Amino acid sequence: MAEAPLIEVRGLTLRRGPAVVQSGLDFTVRRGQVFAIMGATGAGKTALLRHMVGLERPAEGEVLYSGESLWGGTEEDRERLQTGFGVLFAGGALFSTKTLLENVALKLRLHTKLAEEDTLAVARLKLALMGLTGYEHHYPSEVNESRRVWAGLARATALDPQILFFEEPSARLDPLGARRVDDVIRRLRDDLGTTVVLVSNDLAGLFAVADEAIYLDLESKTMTARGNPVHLRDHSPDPKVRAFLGGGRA
Amino acid sequence: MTSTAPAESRLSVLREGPDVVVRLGGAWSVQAGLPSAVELDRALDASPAPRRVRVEESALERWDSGLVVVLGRLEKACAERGIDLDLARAPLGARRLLDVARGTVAPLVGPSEADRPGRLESLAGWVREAPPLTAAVGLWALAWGRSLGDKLDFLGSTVPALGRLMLGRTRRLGLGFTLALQEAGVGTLPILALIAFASGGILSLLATQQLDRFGASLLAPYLVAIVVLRELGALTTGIALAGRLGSSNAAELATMVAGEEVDALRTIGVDPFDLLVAPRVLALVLMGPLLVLYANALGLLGSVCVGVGLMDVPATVYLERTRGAMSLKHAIAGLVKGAAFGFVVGMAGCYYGLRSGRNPGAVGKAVQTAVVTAVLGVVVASVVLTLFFKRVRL
Repeated sequence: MAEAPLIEVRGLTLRRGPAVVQSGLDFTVRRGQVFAIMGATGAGKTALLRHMVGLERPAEGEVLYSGESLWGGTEEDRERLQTGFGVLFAGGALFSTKTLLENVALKLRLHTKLAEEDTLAVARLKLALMGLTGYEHHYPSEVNESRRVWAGLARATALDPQILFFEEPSARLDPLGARRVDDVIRRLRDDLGTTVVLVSNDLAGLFAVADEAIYLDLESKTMTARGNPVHLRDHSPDPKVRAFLGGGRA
Repeated sequence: MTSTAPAESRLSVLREGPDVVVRLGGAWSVQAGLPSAVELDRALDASPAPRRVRVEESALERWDSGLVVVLGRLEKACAERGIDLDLARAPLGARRLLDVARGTVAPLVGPSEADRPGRLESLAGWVREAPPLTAAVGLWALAWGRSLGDKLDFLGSTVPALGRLMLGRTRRLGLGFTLALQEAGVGTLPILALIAFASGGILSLLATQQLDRFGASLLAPYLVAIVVLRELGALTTGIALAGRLGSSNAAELATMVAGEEVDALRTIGVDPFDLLVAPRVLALVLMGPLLVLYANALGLLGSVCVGVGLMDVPATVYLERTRGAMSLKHAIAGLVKGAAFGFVVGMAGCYYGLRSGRNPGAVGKAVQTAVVTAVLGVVVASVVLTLFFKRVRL
């Protein structure tokens, strides 16, 4: 029997209050894949991400990690699974009362037995990898928006997690910054074997790095396409998906 | 020569057999206001009823959204009365905008939703009839019951977090507990000094004046001292804390929720109760009694200053009688209240802060609700504790 897929979403229904945002979501993410979630604003991309990382309990359906249900077990089970995740929220969501260094170090302090000086050394390395040397002791409010995103990436990758969730990583960066994010994602996948789940509408980035993508449709409230983004752009049977991936040119 | 007077919009209504002809002319602008539609309504309701309304341009200089609004109203009025509307000779641009507003074509911006209700229907949805009083009370009670469960849940998460904080299990999170203590304690001193001193003084003045009518003005120091120790010191502390810390805690936490900081904490496995709630609540519980001591001292000082300085009671007498009223019993009652008020203020601020929405607009509402609830909570706790102390003869 084949190994259970790393992430499996089964019959998931997302609600916002009483309104159904998306329903009938079924897909799997294989290990070492860059998996993109695309769709119009308001279609539920972020909601899906929040359900996948366990911030919200699904109205129906399940999210499984290597066959283990995220919501099926106890709270401890869920926390253990979550320890294997790294999450980048749109805008970074850094802890405003802590310096960039402490933002990255906090996760190391919680989940490793590293000595204090080693913790700080690792945190400095993670910041340096994202080009933030010299900003270790700045507070989030003291650096610009794009540096906050890079610090968020440093924090998400602090523990070299197996699975990374990125919410709109390039939306607040300039085009060059967005391409650097693509490089980071590619390195994570190719060098570290990390699985990346990416919520993004940055077409250039999607074509460059995403192995597979799903399209969440706003009107029918479910996923209407799945496949490689370049292939979907040229060959999707759904004209809406082709128009979306064609940058609005039907 | 150019005219500086603003050109006016014109809307004229003519009856031509079974048809009503509406002529649009002049310069239309929203800023200048819309022309009166009384004449138009009269024409539509005239008898015999018109079969068709025809809209025509006649010397229309310029138009803007105002014209679209008028056409939209006309369309609705005609539909209600079963009259045909002929817009073929209305300005093409206005007709197109009307189509967009009606939802029959995609909006200029944003996605189109096939299942979206018509604009007019969705507007009507907002104007609901107010429910009758009985139903309103019932709905309120149900909502309150639901939120009570959530509040108990919050309490249930806070208490173990307080335990972990006191056992030092969460120290590696870098809690900023000292900062919370400083904020709750030292930060509150100036405002509390003023409130406590003033209310002690006012109480002394009123008590001396009123008791003087019965020749018992010398009992005033007793009365004031007991009221200050048992109630006034604690109450002023509670109000000062609700204003300063209830608001700042709610605002800080609500901003963190809006910035997804709290979600980020959860995903890295930090219980927000450990990092955000417990230090704030514990700081207030510890600082509450200390602040009550301080408020008591200032309240009594105010009372002595007014009694001696303003009401001409001899200083030795006033001081002697104030001291005579002081007892450990009264002081303890006040200190217990101080701790309770600190807890209430801490919980209110943290609860409404953490339960705030994930958008910046929710911060203001969270602060308002937190402060109102904190003040209310302080008063209710005071009543409950006063009854309790009476029971146990404290």
